[in-house]
Amino acid sequence: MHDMSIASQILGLKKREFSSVELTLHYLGRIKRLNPIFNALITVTEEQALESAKRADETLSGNIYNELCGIPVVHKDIFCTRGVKTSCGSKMLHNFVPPYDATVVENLSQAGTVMLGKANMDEFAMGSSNETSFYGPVKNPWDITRVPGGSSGGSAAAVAARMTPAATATDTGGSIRQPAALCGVTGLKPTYGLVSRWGMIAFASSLDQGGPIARTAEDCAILLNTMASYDHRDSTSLKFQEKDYRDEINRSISGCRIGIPREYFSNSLSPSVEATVFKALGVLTDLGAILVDVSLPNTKLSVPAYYVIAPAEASANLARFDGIRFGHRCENPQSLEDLYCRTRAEGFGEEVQRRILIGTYCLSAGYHDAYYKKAQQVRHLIKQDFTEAFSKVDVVASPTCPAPAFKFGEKSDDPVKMYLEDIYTIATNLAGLPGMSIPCGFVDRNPIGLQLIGNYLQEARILNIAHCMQKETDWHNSAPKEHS
Amino acid sequence: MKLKKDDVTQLGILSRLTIDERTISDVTSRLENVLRLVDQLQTADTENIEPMAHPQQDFQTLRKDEITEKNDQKAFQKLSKDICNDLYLVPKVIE
Repeated sequence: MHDMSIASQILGLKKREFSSVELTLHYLGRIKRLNPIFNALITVTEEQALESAKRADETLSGNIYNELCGIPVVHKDIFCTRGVKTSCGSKMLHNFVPPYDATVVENLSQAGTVMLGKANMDEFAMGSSNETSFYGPVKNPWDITRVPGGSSGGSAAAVAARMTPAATATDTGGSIRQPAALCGVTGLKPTYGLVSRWGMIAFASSLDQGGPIARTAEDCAILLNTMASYDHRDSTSLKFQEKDYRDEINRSISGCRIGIPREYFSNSLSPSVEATVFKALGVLTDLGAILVDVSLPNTKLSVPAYYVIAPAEASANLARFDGIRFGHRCENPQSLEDLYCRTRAEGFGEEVQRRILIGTYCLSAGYHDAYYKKAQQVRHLIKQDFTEAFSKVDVVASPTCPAPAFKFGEKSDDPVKMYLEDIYTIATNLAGLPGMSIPCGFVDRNPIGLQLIGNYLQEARILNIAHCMQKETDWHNSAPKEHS
Repeated sequence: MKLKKDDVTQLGILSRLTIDERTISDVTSRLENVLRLVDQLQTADTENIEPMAHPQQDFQTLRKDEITEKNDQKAFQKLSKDICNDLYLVPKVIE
């Protein structure tokens, strides 16, 4: 059952080939066996899952149900789940049990999905390797000596290892697409505002966006149908025309113009990744798509702009963790100041502290214009680059990452080296555009991702192109053999 | 960008983070590396370019000024380590 896509599982449940309880037990069995190896989940909600599965089976025996009813799902531990620990990968929230569900969790739960557990992640979503998690790093199912990417490394690894057919994730600078690429699965970061941020623990509010990780583009479309919603509780939630993201998924891509940004194929790109990506693009041209040279000249400034804007927003968002109302509190504080400072120094890991310090620096008197205002102006230039590109093409395609998954410890001593891992994904967040990563081949048996970037609210178009490619190829069906 | 030890100590104070004296030189050098990266921004010509704060900066959704959520004080206060008479307890501030 674990080799089936969500679309096939939906049919299986409908035809009564198996029940949701059977499906859930199957995945729980795999989690029990595989999680000690991969460390993809922080919390397993076995009892709750079986209760939900029973309820789903009852609903499925009637005539009215959502198509996701009875499908198991794992939530990234950044989404608040009522009565279930939500740690955000941090010691700071090690004891935090929210009294409410995030909108994303609520939407999927109302649709009848079965929560299997909470996925491991980089602490407060700050990282590209999952090495910053308080709960230890997630291992890449394709090679356990390598990182799964981050910050949604637990979500991507759990889908890759077939511990769940679906996972929720978030993307602030590439945190859905990069781990999806490194783990050989499909991940979609929607247009900023399409998926509610309510109940999603904030990192950088003008960049954060939730989305799905699954095996196929079609499965991501099915999940997005339920995850995307206007939410009055999120002031940046978009009022959009609701649609079924599968409606146009089989549309012909003949004549579709795919922009190839020359700056993304530069010296920093591994030659073997470049060759793999161009081979995959060949599948699209065989289907009638046309490759068009485009320029995104400010790409090189996306990482510097991001590492001003994201830490600045993080330093403000993370000010709420003061040890008073919830979360970790230091022992025997001598004063209120001591309580704040020691609680935060004990509760936050090194990378989170570094980003708070950078953000505070960039926002401090005398530096605001030189850093923060300048970064916001560069953000505007990056957005203009995309506007110009989308006047010539329907989508933009590129590698998701410059190289395959790297070894643990390879970049953890050098923050700047780690930050450059997201060189191809960050600009999409700065502009607020939708982007996805789909498996497009292997280099030395490590998965490679192809990134597709669409214009605002053009998720259906990139899902369509991704699905057409997946109908012609088999990379998304490949699974890590060693621990299968 | 060169940072002095005192700058980093001051940043720690502003950020409400105790920085261990033994790690301060490591913290400083890593912050300098990141600031060197972000200094690349200065190469961009941004004259007459409006700062972009947000992907949706052209509009802000407003709602009616009405109470829509119930008061969940008890549920939220269960999350705190120290509560007395529905109040959050902190170390003494005024002697």
